[in-house]
Amino acid sequence: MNPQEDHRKLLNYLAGTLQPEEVRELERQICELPEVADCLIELAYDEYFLVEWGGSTGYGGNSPALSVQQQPSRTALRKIRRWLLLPVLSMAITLLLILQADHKLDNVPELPLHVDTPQVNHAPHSAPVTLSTGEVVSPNIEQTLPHGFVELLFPTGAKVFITAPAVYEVTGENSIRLQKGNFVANVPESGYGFQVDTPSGRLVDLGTVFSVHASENEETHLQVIRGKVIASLTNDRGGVRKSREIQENQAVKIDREQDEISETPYFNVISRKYGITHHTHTVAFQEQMPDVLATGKYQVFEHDNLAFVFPERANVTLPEHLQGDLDSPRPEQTAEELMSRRRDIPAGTTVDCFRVYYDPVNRDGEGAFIPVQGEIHFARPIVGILLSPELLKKTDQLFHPLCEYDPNCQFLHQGTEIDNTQVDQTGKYDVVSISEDRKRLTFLLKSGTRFVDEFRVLIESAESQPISTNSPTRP
Amino acid sequence: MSVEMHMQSAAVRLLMNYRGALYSYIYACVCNHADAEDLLQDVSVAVVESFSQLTSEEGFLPWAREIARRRILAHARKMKKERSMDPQVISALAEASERVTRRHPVSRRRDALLECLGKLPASSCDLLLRYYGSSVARVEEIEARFGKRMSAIYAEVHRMRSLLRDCVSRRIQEDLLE
Repeated sequence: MNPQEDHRKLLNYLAGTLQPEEVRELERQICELPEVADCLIELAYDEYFLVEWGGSTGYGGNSPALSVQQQPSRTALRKIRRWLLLPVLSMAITLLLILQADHKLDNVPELPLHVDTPQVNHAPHSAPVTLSTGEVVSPNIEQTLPHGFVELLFPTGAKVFITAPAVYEVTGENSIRLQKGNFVANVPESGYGFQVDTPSGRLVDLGTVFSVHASENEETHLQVIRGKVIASLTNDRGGVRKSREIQENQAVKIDREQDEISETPYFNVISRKYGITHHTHTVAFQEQMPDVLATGKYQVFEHDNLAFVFPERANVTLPEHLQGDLDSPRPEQTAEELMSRRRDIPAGTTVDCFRVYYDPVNRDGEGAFIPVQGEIHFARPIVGILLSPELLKKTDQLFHPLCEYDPNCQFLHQGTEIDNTQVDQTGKYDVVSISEDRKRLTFLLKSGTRFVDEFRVLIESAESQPISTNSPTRP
Repeated sequence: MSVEMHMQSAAVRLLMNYRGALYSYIYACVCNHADAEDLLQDVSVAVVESFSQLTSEEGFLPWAREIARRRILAHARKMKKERSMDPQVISALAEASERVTRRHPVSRRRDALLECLGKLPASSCDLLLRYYGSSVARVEEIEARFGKRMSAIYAEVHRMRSLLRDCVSRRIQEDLLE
């Protein structure tokens, strides 16, 4: 036997590139020679490891971070170190789950346990669940949220944004009960296993962004934006009756009355209410902007390759003309074209405002950018795009939800930098464009460690009169 | 937390611990990452649903592997027209998977792989990163980046995989001697 040759054959077997007779011969060896079968299992594990390792680096074909010629060793080793953290984080979550479960089970000694759990000493209560304001949320106490929304930060890294009216209860360091209401959960890898209980079911996260609507009439609606979730239908005692894995871009209803988990249309009807008819899977609509984000504290909604769109204020009538940064019905980005398409949005126009926000998790250092490309289709024409930090700041008073009752409020913004001097040859600028019918927004945003991309989109309000798309341009 | 909730958490935790071992077995059988991922998810759901049947955590991996073996056989029946899978091979690989995990935990192999990756020349490491992290990258981009034809890149990746395998074997052997 030639080990190198065997190794090559086994790799080709895994890649499916062997000839049929070679496959038959190798499979005979797998059945008869344990060392060949063992070697194949080890190579399959290496393959699994390398795919996970490569995937965890966020190395995409378009990433400008891949400057092999510049600093290959440092980039690669940084990625290895980051990947090395994942098992450590997973272990931490596991330990938290064990501690929590062990503690809780003290209260139900009579119930039979079929699983031998590891013996773990009771530890002092570790990191609490907090609100974004830093206030600790008492576990196992039902909370009623009559107005507004709250943002819960779990010690595992899971973030949950609950919209009123809602009734919820933090049940552990990586779990919550939603009696009624809506929320969006953003669960990083460290929060794997995040659990949500509702009156009709249970959701166990497998590393995702997902939204939940629970009602007390024994229905739970789940929409998975990213990743996967195991959805279970439960009985009155919380026992699992049936489970189903829900994939990305899938939505289901857990219906206890009908005793089923049934598929529902994916699209979030809420966003339709706001005038967004469709968006790509690289965009997540969120009805409420988290407090920390709204007040200019970034690094909140971090997710690679996923941009968020939040509705800001609606039916705002402009008191004076407003010059948008981009009003181009074509994607040209030259300064001349761009300037010629800048125009005043006339005073008296009534608009609805949205904020598009992108903040990747990427921690690979300065100069590393993770792109996101997406499209948002609006029900009504886009009137203008506000990109620059200055313009965003200047228009806070008009469009920012927190400025409605405070005429002096302003927040810091980072804006979005498109190429305004020449045709972008370097590929480092963001690209934002509008379709001919002005209802489709397309963007390619590139952001990195310390930066976010954000901009405002103004669309005609449902209550406004249609305005001409041929308004005079500024010289 | 109810007993059921506790059990579901325990099931998820064990699935996390043994994901690599289960995946490598499934992948060795089906030789396709997409199918392996789907099958692993099927197995995960089945594990969570029937976790109450498990009497001890020590028996988790053999039990989950048996669930996986049955799912692979079912998958093989479905895929018969596209690719025949010999049930004997599936069983032989189940036994091999058990031998390999008994010999040394997968976590040791993972650590050894990380150590060995750190010893590769920077350009090789970058090529592997590009190759394995490039689900969205186009073949032409990789070719352009490294100035080689894809066939030459495959050969280079195979060569590095051999180097990695030898290095990992040495590391694990050294551990056993210690």
